[in-house]
Amino acid sequence: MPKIRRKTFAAREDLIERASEVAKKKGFSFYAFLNEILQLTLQAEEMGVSLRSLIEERGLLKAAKEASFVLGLENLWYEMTDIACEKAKRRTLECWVEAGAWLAKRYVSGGIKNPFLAFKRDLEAFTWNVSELDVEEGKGEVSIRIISPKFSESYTFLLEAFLESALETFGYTRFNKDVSRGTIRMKAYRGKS
Amino acid sequence: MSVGQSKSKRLIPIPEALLRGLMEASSNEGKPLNRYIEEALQQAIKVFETGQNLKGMVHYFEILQSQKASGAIFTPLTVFDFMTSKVYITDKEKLLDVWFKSGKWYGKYLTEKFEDPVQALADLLQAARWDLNEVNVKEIDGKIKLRCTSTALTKEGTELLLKFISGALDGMKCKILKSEFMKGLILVEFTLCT
Repeated sequence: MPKIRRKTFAAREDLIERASEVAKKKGFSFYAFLNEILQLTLQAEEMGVSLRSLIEERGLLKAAKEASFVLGLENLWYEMTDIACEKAKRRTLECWVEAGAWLAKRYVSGGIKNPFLAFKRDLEAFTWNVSELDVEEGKGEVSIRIISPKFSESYTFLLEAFLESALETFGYTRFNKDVSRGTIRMKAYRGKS
Repeated sequence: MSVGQSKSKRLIPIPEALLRGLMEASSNEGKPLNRYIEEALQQAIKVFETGQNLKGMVHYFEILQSQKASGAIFTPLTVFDFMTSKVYITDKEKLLDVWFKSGKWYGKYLTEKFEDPVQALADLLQAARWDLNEVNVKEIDGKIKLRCTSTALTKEGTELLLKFISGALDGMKCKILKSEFMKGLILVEFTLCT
């Protein structure tokens, strides 16, 4: 068996100790553990990402799961939305409105310091298919702009209802909307007038 | 000097080939090699300490990327369940056809993208459909058995998912020998066509 040539690098002792403890728990030797980590780091690098991004992406799926979202194919989803709207528009709309309120309530009741910011962050993460998404929160108002040429008409209107319902749960009561297929422009205000 | 920099250091031997790759990667990121490796080590420790698996995470990322590329979107589960059950009542055949065709396209996509598209399908289902408790693929006597179980899936949802899987296997040019379902359980037996 050919001997593997090795070189050395200097690493922080405290880090090595922590890594050794983790390796021991996992039933690896420190060197086997280190080699695996470094190989996976390079594998991730080849995919154009860092380990930090991997952790963040894993967090995205976890967040989506906790928010009760599932992944489905876009075309299939638009077709189903169209059929559902054609057959039971009112009930379909109600269902989206309920889902929007439920999602927002989850943030509002979750003991989060800034629930709207958490909602905004997740909304941005979950809508990776959208070409343009801007959510801006000002003093007593929020503006949302979504542009996606791929949206079907029904999907656009249902998504708008979903967002409006979510914003209502966050305490916004008045809305200015401009909605057409693939485009949602919405401004929401707190208070009565 | 920061606390991190004042820690004592130890020399660690690693395979030369691996080190060369790391030197290239650290240079691409414009970081000194030691810092690059230490950061990787820190991130990996964080992953393991939170009970996760780094290898699984890399695999997960690949899956997520292919999901993004295939045009997958996040949908509220309650809405998803409502739509499937509502449309199922009024347009069952149309809906089953839509799911089959969608699956077929997906099967072709996976064949182009992955060396083992059947395993990729199972992994993707497991990762993207967390309403499934288990997605299992096993080869027994030259036949491949795929099993999905779920305690959350509705009967309609189960049938539609089976249609999607059947479409995907058709898109991969697999020959389905047997398929059956009941609420929350899908069993498909098939062979790979060469």
